[in-house]
Amino acid sequence: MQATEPGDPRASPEASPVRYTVLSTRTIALWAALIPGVGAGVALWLLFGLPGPDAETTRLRLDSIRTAGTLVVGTGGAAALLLAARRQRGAEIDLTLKELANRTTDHDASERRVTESYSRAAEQLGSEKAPVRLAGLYALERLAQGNPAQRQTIVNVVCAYLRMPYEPPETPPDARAGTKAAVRHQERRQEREVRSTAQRVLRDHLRRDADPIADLHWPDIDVDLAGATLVDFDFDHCKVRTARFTGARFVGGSWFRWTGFSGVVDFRSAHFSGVAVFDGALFRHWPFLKGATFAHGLPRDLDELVVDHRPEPPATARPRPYATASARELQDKLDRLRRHAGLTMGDVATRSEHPPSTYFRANLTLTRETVVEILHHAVLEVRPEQLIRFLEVCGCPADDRSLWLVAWGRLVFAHEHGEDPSDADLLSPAGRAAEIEFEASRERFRSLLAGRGGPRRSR
Amino acid sequence: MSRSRSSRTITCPACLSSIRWRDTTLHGLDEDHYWWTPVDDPRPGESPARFRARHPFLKRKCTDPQAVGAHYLPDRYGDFGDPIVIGVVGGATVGKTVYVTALVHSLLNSANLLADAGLTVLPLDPLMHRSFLDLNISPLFHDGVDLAGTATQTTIPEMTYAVHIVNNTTGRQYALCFYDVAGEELSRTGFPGGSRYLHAASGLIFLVDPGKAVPRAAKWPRGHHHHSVDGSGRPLAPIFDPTFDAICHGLSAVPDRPVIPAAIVVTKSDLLQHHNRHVADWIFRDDDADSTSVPQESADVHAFLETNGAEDYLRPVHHFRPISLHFASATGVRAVDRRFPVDRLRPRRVLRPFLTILRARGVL
Repeated sequence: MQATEPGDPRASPEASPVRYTVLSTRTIALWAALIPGVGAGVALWLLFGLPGPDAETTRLRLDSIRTAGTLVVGTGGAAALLLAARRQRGAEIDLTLKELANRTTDHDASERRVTESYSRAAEQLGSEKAPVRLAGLYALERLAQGNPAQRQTIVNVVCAYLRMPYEPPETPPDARAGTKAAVRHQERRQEREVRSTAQRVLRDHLRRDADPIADLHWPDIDVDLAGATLVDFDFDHCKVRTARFTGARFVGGSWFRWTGFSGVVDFRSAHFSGVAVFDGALFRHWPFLKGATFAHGLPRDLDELVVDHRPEPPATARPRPYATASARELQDKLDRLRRHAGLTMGDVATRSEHPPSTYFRANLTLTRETVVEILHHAVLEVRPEQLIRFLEVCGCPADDRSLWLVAWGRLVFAHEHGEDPSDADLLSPAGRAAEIEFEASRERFRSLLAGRGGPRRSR
Repeated sequence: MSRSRSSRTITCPACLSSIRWRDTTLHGLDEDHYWWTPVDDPRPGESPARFRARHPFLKRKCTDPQAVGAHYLPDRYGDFGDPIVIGVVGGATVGKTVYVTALVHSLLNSANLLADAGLTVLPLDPLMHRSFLDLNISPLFHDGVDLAGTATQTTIPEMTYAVHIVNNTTGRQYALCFYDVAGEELSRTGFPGGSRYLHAASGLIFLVDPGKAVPRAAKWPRGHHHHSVDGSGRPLAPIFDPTFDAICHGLSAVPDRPVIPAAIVVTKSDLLQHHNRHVADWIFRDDDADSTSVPQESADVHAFLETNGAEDYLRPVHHFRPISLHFASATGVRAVDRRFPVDRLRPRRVLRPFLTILRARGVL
């Protein structure tokens, strides 16, 4: 028999329907016929089944009848007991059903409360008054803390709030600027407080060292702060899955010390106007940094990122590009090629700096973003030179390189024009025959140039 | 030692007459920048720099009295000995104009590569340079416009572009010009007429359009004018470019024909790279200045054309020596609705045939 796991829905009483069996009418009728039948049967057998009409025989018969009567009475008692047991069972079933109904009602009420609280908090977040918005944030935080299933949704709401357009307050306007400017300045300051609170809510619950007993850490959360304006963004010691900071504006300092990102992190086109600290930040994949600007220069620790901490199984056989049907498959094969060479993605970028390419006149260095782009994102959008350099660094033999390029080119063609350009498989008999003919034609040309003439091709 | 400027005789690439460079007269643009008018010699004591500042655009008028019309050559065309004339040959839609534009663009923007090859290349004629930038390079490389074909020339063909070349090792200087003549005319008239310049050609570049030469090999997107199947779904048959024949037979008929190096270039090769591994192997290489791999590439191009039913395009191999064959692409990307995506425009290997011809001419 198959065992059920603790989390298996089949194990819960709510999930599997329980059959509550009661005595059927048929059973009762059967018993009603059986009990007198047994009594009558025994009496008849005692009266007529035993030999001799003498006194002794008569006494025995009377005793027998008495015994039979006792048996009938006893059987009736048993029947009564059975009926009582049926009633009892019915009562118990009623009770269980009532309990289940109560439980469902409680769950519905709880869900309703969550929904109401969520709606109320969201409404508060949209209020014009800063204190009300603050209350909304705290309400959302409380809601998420008590409802683990709602945490990602609530983080999404908080992130969406932070993504709203915002201009931080500048220096306070002087008295001559008028009331309107003063009010605007005041509103921006208040909004900054609300946003700081939103950032704090995220940080407090995404910190990996948040109080484990109180269950303050929210695990496996995705953060989407693309285009957000983040003031003094403190993300120290946090642990998240994916994080999008595309086009985000970091006003003031930003801290990512010992922050762990287990998924993709995107900083493309982000602008860091203040200091950006990434000491000990742990990235599973290289963060996308294309177009990101750092007013204080690229942080040293970001430049020396270490990724790929988990050991990867080495690929045993070098993959070949034949019959590659999709970009994803091509990326898998390229990744296997990398692992077959025993290189991490970091090694590929580093090795592309030296030795110089034997293929290109000027050396082509691959950035970390390009390696990630090739292996995980848009392999069909990279330049062919970048792909060639990748193959070269991964030790792809020169003969195979053109095969990879053909495979890549076919996918690019299919991607751009919606049709597969592949007509012949290089491994097919026709493909092999074409290769042989090609080599013969090469030789004819060499002979021609050398003045040997050489046989003309038969047509 | 080269002859002095006064006694030098050159062949006019337009009318094919021999002219004494001393006899040509300087002409400059008039005030309206419309007519070429004679220019007086420098004033006594006037420095050449000052004279050029007064006359930024100068040309020399060909002195041949038999010429059909007046025609002018760049001012310094005859200053460096026999000029080098490179003719670009191909049918009407092969993309000669785009190819020459990409070649000139590469010449002007690949100083490092050319230095590796031992060359310095500068524009020869400022007016021609400006006009070429405005009419060809800028529309193609800045606006992504697919350039229109060369207009049919009925009188004297015009020089497309001219450069001043210096061999960095020997210090020798050369004037080099390109001619791009309408393909229709070549195939219609055979050899005479507008294609007369080929008599003076120092090198020829034959362009092969894979859409016509190897339509089965090239898979083109549906709806493209080079789509590889016809209306009934059958593969298209190769179409031979009669220009090749006209040139081969025309030049063969010339008595005492000088040695003319030639190159056969399969253009638009980026469109073939998804089909053929040999094309893919060459087209992305960045080895224009490397002469050692030219024989290997030539053998591959020969095999590619021959095995794909385009043997007719290999006729120049039997008529010209030395000859090289190349894969190249003037733009590196396909035009959509006569527009190229500017950010992906990248000429590939257009300099390689040119440098191979220069090597054969002894310039390198």
